[in-house]
Amino acid sequence: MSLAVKQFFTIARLTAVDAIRQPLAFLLFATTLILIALLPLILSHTLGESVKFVRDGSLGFMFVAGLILGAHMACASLSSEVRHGTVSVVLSKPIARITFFLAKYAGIAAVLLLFAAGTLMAVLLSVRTAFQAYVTDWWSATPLLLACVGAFVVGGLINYVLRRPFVSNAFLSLLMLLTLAFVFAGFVDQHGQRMAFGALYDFRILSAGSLITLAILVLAALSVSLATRLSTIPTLSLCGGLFFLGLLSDYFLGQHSATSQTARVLYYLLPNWQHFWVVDALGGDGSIPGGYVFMAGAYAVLYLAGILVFGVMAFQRMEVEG
Amino acid sequence: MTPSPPQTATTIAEARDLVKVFRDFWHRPKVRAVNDITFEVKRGEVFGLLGPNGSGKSTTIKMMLGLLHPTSGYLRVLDRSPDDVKTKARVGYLAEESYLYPYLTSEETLHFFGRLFNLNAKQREERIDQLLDMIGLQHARRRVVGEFSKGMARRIGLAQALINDPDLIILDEPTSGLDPLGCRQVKDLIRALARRGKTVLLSSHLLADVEDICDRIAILYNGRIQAMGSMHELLEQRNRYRVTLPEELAPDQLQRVLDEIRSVLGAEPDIDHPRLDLEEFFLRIIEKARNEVESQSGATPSHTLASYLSAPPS
Ligand SMILES: Nc1ncnc2c1ncn2[C@@H]1O[C@H](COP(=O)(O)OP(=O)(O)OP(=O)(O)O)[C@@H](O)[C@H]1O
Ligand SMILES: [Mg+2]
Repeated sequence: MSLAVKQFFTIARLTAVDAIRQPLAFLLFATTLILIALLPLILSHTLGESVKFVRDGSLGFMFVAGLILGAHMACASLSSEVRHGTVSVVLSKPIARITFFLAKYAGIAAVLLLFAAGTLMAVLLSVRTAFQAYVTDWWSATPLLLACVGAFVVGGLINYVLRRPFVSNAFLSLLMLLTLAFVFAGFVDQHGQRMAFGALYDFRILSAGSLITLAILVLAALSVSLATRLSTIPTLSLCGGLFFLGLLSDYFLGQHSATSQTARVLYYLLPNWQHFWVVDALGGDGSIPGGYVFMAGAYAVLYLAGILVFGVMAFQRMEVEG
Repeated sequence: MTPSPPQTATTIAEARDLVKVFRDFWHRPKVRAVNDITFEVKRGEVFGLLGPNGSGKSTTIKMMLGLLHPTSGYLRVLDRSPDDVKTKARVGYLAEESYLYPYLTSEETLHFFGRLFNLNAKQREERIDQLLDMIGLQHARRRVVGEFSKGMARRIGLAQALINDPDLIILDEPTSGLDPLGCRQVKDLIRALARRGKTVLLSSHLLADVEDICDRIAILYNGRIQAMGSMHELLEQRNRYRVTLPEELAPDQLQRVLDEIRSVLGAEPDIDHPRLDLEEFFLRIIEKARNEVESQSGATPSHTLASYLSAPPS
C-alpha cells in the first residue's frame, strides 16, 4: 500500500473516531432516533394517514439532522483545528494537502453513512409501528425505544466499568442495539409470531432514504470545503443558506429560468434538493423507478466531485495561520 | 549585491531577504510580520530566535514549515523547498500551542503521527515506549490528551515532534507552560539532542532559556534581525574580567588578596557574595521535597534520551 493511501486511511479513521467522540454527534444521533421512535406513538391515534406522516416526518428529521451533523463535524474537524493549530502540526508532516483534505471528507462521510444506516433502520421500524391504522405495533416500537434507552445505559456502564469514553461507546452501542432491534423485529409479526424476515418493513423507503443520504453527503462536502477557510459560524450560515436556496430553487429560479439567463445559471449551479426528496412518490403502492434513483445518484456524485475538486484547489495553496 | 548560495554540507536551513506581509480580506497589506531577514542554521547547532511578542518568530517558523508562503525572499530547508514532503519527512515541529486531538489518548496520538511517517506497528510501539519514558508520561499512556495539564500537553507535543527521528527539530516556544522543573528537563533534552547531532531551531522570549541552551541566536524585533551571532560573541565583555576565589577563604587571606589588588590598581574593587540563580535554588528545593514525598507532579521523566534517535550521517 502506498504511503499516501496509508495516510489517507489514517486521517480518515482519526477524523471518524474523533467525530463520534464529540458529544454533539451522539446527541444529534440519539435525538433523531428518539424523535423517529416517538413519532408513530404520538400520531397513531389522532390521524388516519399516520403512515404517510411518520414516513415523511422521520425522513425529514433524518435529512435535517444529517445536514446539521455534517456541518458540525466539518466545523469541529476543520475550522476549529485550523484555529487551534492542530492542522498546522499535521501539515508539517510529510503529507500532501489533497490527501489530507480528501481524508477529512472521507472520515466525515463514513460517520454520516453510519448515521444514515442507523436512522433508516429506525424509519423502517417506525413506519411499521404506524402501519395499521389505530393500532400500535408494539413488537416494533418497543425494540426501537429499548435500543435508544439502552445505548445510554451501555455507554454509561462501559464508562463506569472499563473507564472508556462514554460518548463514542454510546454512539456505537446505539448503532449496534438498533441493528439488533431491527433484526429482531424483522422476524416477529405484530402478534409476536415468528415470520419471514422483513415482511412488515416497507423497503421502498430505502430508495428515498439513499437519495437523502446522497444529499447529506453533498452538503457535507460543501461544509468541509468552506470550513477550511471559514470559521464555524460563517460555515454554518452559508451551508444553511445554500440548503434553503436549494429547497426553493425550483420555486424561485425554475420558473424564471426560461426567461432569465442569470436565473438559469443559478438554477443549474445550486444543488436542487427536490431531486433528492422523492418520498411523495411512495404514497399508496407507488414506488420510485430505479432509473430515477440512478439519475439522481449520478447528479449527486457529479455535484459532489465538483465541490471536492473546488475544495482541494482552494486548500492547496492555503496558508495555515493557526 | 546578491550573495551566491553558500550550499555547504553544513547548512541545514537558510533564509535570505525573507519577507512576509499579511494581507487583509481585500488583499491590502496589513502587517509586515517578517521584514527582510537573512540567517543560516548550521548542522548540529541549537539556533535561537529570540524576540518580544509579535516580533515575527512564529511567522518565520511557519514559513520554514511550508505552512505560510513567503511574500518574497529565498528560503531553503534541508536543501529543498519547505513545501516539499521530502523536507517534511526529516523535520519535527512543536507548535506554539500544543493543541492536539483532545479525545485521543497519549498513545493514540503518537501512533497517529507515527503512521503519517509510514512507521510500522513495531517501530511505533518501540519509539512510543521510549518517548513516553523520556518525557515522563508513561503513566498517562491511556489518558486522553484533552484532560492534560498545559505542561503534560507540551510534553506530548514534544514527543510527537520526535517520532520520526528528525534531523531538524523546530520548536516554537518549547518551554512555554512548563514549570521550572519541566523547563529544566526540556532544556536538558534539547542539549542532549544537539549532542546526538540533531539540529534544533527554537523560538523563545525567555532569555534565561535561550542563554542556557543556544549556540547561536538572532534577536528579532518588529520583523527584523537586530543582532545575530554566537552566544559567546554577543555576550562576552572582552574588556572586563571576573576573578573567582576558592571557597572557604580565610578572612586574613582575603584581606591580603584585596590589599594586593588595591596596591596594583590603586582603586577599590567591588566585592560581594555570588548568588545561586533562582532556577538552581528552586530545583534544589524541589529535589529535596521530592525525596521526602512520592512525586505528585504530572510527569516523571527518565532523563534518558530515547535511544532510537539517531545521529545524522555526516
Ligand atoms: N495570520 C495572521 N494575520 C495577520 N497578522 C498576523 C498573522 N499571524 C501573525 N500576524 C502578525 O504578525 C506579527 C508577528 O507575529 P508572530 O506570531 O510571528 O510573533 P511572535 O514573535 O511569534 O510572537 P509571540 O512571542 O507572541 O508568539 C504580529 O504583529 C502579528 O499580529
Ligand atoms: Mg509566536
